[in-house]
Amino acid sequence: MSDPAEDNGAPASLPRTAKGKRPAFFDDPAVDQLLSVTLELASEVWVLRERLAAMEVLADRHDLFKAAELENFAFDAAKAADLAAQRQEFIARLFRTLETQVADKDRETGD
Amino acid sequence: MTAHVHHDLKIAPNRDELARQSFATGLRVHVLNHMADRMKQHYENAVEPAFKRTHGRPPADGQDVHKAMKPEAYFRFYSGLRVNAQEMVWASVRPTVERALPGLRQTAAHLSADQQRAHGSVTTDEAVAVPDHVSAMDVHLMPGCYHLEAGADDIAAGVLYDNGLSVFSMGLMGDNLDDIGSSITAFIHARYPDFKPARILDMGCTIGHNTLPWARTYPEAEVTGVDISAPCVRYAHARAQSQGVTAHFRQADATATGLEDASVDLVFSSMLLHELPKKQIADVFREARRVLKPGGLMLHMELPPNNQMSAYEGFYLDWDCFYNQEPYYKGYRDQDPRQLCADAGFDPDGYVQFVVPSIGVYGADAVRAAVDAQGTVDDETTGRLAEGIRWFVYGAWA
Repeated sequence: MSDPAEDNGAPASLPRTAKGKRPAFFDDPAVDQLLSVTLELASEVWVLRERLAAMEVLADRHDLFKAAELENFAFDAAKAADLAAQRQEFIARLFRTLETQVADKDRETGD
Repeated sequence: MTAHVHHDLKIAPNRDELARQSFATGLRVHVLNHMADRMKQHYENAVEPAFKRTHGRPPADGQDVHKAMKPEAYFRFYSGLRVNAQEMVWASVRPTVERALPGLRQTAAHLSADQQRAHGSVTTDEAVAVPDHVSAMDVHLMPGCYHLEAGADDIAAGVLYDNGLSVFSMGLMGDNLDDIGSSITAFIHARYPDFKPARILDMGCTIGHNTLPWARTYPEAEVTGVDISAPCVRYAHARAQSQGVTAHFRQADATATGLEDASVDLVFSSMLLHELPKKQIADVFREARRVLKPGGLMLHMELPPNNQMSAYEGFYLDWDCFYNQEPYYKGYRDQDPRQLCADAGFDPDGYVQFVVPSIGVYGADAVRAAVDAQGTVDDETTGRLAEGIRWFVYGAWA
């Protein structure tokens, strides 16, 4: 009885949202929604960090590599260049809506 | 395992679920400590001076402060982050709870029936109706609230609350989530060494986490917890049995406990009154008065009242009223504790008020050392779930 019971039948289904009006704080409700999106992302980033930390500990425990080796790791030139290109693409993708917005403004106000 | 749920009804989060729990806790730590301090500085540096310039006077009360703070970006982000953190508390444990529930229902049934462990009991009552003021919205933004019930052996609301509270409490409610009960029972035991209650009642006990310290402190006493939620009292009983503590749990409204007149030596509640409309608060006090024996003690652990705090701290505590689906919070805090006791027929000379240091934060010696203090509310720490918490308690002798 001391182990948490699992696999003892179909999982239950509990409600996802709370009854009542969801509190909102910004003049544009989209800002409240964006804040939630950002926090979900932040939470998942943290989930990944904890998972990586666990993998480092396990890699060390099973003699795959030491955490110090990871800390001092350097990519070779070809891989570094590849990653640099990927990084710039990543950043451009992240801010793509700003580009769309400024392009729209140009079209509206330009002659 | 969720950080502060160790007993036999514990759940088994996987690696990612544990990380989501720790993120929700960490977000709350940041918002309720760092951002809370910074927001107060911002108020003192900019918002209050601007209010004074406009109105020719400082803010009179929490309502004035609230109006002045509402347009502030820092307040909006503080609030937005806090609401999201609250939702994440429940969301971080829900999938684990859903997976565990079928097994936990069996575990709870075994524990409840196991008279070797403890000799408590649980009684549910289909005649107990969930009042409209409870069913209108999910308090604490907890999906399903405390009373959602799916079947005669359902304990889901209790499981969700126990594990959610573990994430929510940031360690400040102790490793068994009973710091409120443990601190206050240690305090009362030291303050009144000759008071030996034979029957103790905990009103609105939810999962009994703050009921059990009474049974531990007064092992000779018969301890009963009542709550309108059947899933919570079922869970409370199984949880008590798991911890080897004898306590009795009954599904009943705190305004109509069903106990005999003058049959109880100590009536307790924790964090109950601020969830109730004024009429029900008065009814709870009257019920406490009715069941107490002459010479018995009523004690409520609560948020400190607005008339014992500054305008800013009043505003700060009342946040939950507007943004955490606790609509009666401010209405309760605007009332005077001494008056509430007097209105129910308690002798004003029998009024007591204490500020009890958290036993987990300050240690047992500090709790015992506080028994001679005046019970004066400290703006920064009393009733505020953040670093340095002290619990506010008041009541009256019958």
